[in-house]
Amino acid sequence: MIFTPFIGSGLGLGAIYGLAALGLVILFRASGTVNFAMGALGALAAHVTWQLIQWDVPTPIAWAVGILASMLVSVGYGRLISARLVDREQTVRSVATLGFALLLLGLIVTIWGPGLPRRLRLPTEMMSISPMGIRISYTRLLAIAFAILAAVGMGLLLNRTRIGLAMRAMAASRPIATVIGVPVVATDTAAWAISGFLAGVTGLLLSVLIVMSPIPLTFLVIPSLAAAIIGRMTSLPGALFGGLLCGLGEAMLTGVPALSVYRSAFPYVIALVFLTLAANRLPGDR
Amino acid sequence: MLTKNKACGGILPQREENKMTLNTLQKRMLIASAVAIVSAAPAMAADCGLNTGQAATGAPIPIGAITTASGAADMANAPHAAEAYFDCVNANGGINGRPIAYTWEDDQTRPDRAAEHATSLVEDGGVYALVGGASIVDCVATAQYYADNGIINLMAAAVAPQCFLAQNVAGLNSGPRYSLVSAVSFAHENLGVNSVVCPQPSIPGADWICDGIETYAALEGMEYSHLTFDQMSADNESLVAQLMATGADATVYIGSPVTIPPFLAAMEALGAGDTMKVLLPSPAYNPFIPEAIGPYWNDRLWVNIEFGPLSSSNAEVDNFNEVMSAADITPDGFAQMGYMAARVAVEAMLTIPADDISRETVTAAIQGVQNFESDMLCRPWAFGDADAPSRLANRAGWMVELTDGAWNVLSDCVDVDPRVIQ
Repeated sequence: MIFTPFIGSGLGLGAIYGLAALGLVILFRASGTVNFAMGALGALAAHVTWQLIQWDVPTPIAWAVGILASMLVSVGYGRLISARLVDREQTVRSVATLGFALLLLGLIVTIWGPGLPRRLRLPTEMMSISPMGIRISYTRLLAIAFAILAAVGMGLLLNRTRIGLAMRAMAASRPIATVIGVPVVATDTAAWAISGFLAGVTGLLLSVLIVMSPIPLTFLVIPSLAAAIIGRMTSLPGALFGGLLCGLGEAMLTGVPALSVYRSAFPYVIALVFLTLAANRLPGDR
Repeated sequence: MLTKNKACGGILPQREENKMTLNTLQKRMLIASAVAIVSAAPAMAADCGLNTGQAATGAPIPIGAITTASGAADMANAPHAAEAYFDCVNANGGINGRPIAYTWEDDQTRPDRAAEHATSLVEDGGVYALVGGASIVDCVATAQYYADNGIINLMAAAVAPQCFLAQNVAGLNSGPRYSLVSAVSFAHENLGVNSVVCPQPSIPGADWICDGIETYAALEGMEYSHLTFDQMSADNESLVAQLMATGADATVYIGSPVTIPPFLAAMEALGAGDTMKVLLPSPAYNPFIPEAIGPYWNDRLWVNIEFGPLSSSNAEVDNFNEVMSAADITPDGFAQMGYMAARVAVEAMLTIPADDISRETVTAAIQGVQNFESDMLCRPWAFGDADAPSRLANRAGWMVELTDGAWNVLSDCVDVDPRVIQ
């Protein structure tokens, strides 16, 4: 079986998994919370954008407002709910986001319905390059470029800026960071905003490339979680690498008849393998 | 009573009025809502059962249904529509003076829940028949149970193979296997399709659907190929790349209104629609699909539909819209199926004297329906031989094509090839 036809789709899918994984990692590093609501926030961004386009709002503005909606709701949760859980253990804080995800999902389904066929469009979807016979649409290239840019940008933010320093301090010890004067609320807000931004972009790209429906979008965070685990929930390059690995693997298995019907399980299998066998040799920045 | 029958050939001259667009649906729904709200307006009265205008007051007739309303799908509009029609019948003399007491349950896409509800409805509720259910799993768990208890399950939407391979189950629809076989036969005879590929999702029963297409292809000397795929994967482009590698003239796709647009988007992204025709079963006939998939698919997409277009105007469609409007139910495909199942059941039960209505007589009456005609059906609906171990009660539909962003009825009745009926 020749695998080259699947490389383009695998890279595009992997870039999106990677983007969502970056959002998971950045928030986890700053607040110790695994944000299971990433997918639901992305679904919200997609549906707000779709609605605005239906109302003839220009597409760039609709996209911007959709992402802004995701950021605002994310920050709102971070300030109103998550802030009240800072003294609870990490598991409680993370599981609370699952409740937030279900709440958002219910809201989206109530407003826009559970299963109406919809799609977001970008003109870049019909433009493509074909290196070595591998067709890659411009939208996929956009996703890959944005994922790399996001990983580099987030890396610079964490390592070269005061807010990044504050995030790292809070990740090391929130009580000590508070005592030494780290602006905890502002840092938390920034982390939730970045997470909401990445969730919004991911949701919009997923709605262009894969599917625009609230339930699949909400639960597509799960393979992204596998990608973040490959990055040990701390490494930005590791999360991006994990996303690309998961996407490529899932696509490549199409060419293996005996395994193709199980390919959606690939991200979880590979995450388990990394967790159990190669934890100390994973790509990472610390 | 309604003017029930109409030659299917009458559809072609209505090509323009049969265009089904989002705008026309929205207008229709707005009009329907307005009719419901503004009661002072002289709306056309729905025609239901005996149509006496007097509420039925006799002993209730227990009728049940099992539907997938949560889990993998929500098909609750089917029993909602059946209930709306039964309510209308009850307000118009009932079944020879006796009202229908209708109860339906959600199987949550779980065979064990379906079995549990079947036992409860049949043994505790004492229902005389099941009517208007739309379920993915009901037949899997209960088909033999209904036969053992001498009770009929007159389904609005039958999906699982077991529904069509059972003695006491009859669907108002023809199901994805036969809907797709009809689509392939139409494409073979009219579109020059001589090779077809069937991508088979890894769900129970999908092999039976592809098997029907393979059987038809073999009988017609067409090239056939099939591949299995993981429907849980978000990656549709890899599936499309596989389909393109087969070089087939056409592909079918077993999907829902939610999964069809992403599949078609992947085909569009790879340019697969330029070389491969796409044939879909009736769930694709949805007013929101044309906008969701975009103009690329104009003149590249064909769908087999099992019930007449809702945008057409005839006595049955008008009555259906009136009943749905009165009950504030969205008049979609599932509502059509539920309404039609209720219509068949009422017509059958009206043949029984009021003091003789029982499970046995209701079963016999439904089994006796052999020529039910309606504007919404391409051919008369027939229960068939009551002793047959399997049945396909709806054996014909129409073909529609996406043209200029709207569904256009292309054909006279397309009959399911009898050679593939099991």
